[in-house]
Amino acid sequence: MAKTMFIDTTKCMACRGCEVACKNWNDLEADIQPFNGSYQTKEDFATQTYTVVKMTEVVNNGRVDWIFGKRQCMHCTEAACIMVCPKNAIKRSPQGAVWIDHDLCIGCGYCVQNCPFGVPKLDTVNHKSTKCNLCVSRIENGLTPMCAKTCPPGAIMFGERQDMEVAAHKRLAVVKRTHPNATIYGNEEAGGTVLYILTEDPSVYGLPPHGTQVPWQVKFWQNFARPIGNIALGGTLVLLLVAAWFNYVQKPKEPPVHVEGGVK
Amino acid sequence: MRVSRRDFLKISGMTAGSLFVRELGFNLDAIEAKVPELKTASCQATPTICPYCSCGCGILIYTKGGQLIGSEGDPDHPINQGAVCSKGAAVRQVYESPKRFTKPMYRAAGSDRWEEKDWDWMLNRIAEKVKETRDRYFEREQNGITVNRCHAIANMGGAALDNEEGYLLHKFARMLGVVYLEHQARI
Repeated sequence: MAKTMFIDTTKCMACRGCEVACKNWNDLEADIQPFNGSYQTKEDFATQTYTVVKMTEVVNNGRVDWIFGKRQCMHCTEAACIMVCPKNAIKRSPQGAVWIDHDLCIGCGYCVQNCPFGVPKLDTVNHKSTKCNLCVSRIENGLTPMCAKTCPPGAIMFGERQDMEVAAHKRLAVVKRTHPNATIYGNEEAGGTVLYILTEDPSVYGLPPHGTQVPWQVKFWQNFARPIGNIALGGTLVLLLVAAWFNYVQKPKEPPVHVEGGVK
Repeated sequence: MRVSRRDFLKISGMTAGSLFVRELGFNLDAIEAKVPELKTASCQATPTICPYCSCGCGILIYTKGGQLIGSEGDPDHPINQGAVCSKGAAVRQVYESPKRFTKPMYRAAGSDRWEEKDWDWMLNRIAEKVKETRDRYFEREQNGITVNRCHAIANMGGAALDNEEGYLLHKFARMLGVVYLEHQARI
């Protein structure tokens, strides 16, 4: 059974240890950006930034809540990126990580355009799509992803999907006492994703609304357009073989006369 | 390019045929199930202590053939149990950063630039200045009370010092008569 991550945004203290640990493990360069009035150092994901802690200030009944949302790839069960990838370079590992095989990726950018969460970013220098890979080499070897391991307050948990769902519901009951609007995100979005506890509307965290699914165009492409293309290709081959058989095996009685531009 | 009908059929046939090759029953499962290799798999893990704050979190440094591969929190360490904050997670840069100083830097009084010096020169210089300052400002007594102190030197400890280093530094500073024995975390 696949594993998943459970991010409790109410426990996050925005130390950004996950950001640094992610860069450490994935050997990503620092991406220094100018100060823009917030403690949030990264605007969004980038080719060198697979995880970002988003910080938002929300006023509730005259009290300011500082919302921290640790964001990374959602590792959807119904992943749009896997569906649209023409090279099958995006794969799902046995433990549930959706990861991009850079040996196969051609940098076409379909995944960048179709991800409902805006996660993959295109590296235009190396022509590769980049995103969080849930530390696929670690989780396939029985370790936890780097961000989950390094998190000092334990806001990022990693484990079997059922266990994480149970943990999320337990935690939600506690959070509801102080944040009545708290919800669990990721149970049904895109077939089930990384689980979140959110105290505000998903838009505050930069997430699409509850119940977001893979667009129908993507499903149409995956389930209809691509098989049709394969059938057309196979049909061409079969028809040509039939034509060749008529041409060479069942030779016409009179040999054809070859002239420029075809057969007369 | 002018393509005759026959050429067009040939090209179509070759394209479809070559694309058909991969459908011939090659077992691609092994390739598709392949995951990247664990980069720390054959590395040596060396435990160390985070040099930043006074928590003293345990960190594992992964090396292979003398090359630094990565670092992560030590899961067996009783203080942090595998967790490290953003500073501890960046400890690899203490070694790797291009901004790291590998030689002592000296700026002479009144000068506006730093210059590289070797350790022997540096330690001798520090020792000379300490001796000179202490000899000049050491007080034996004040108002008939023995004080044995030196107001002209201050000592600043850091959170990264461990017990033993702190003990030795403390002994050394008291021996010089230092009374301003301070710590970075108290400033």
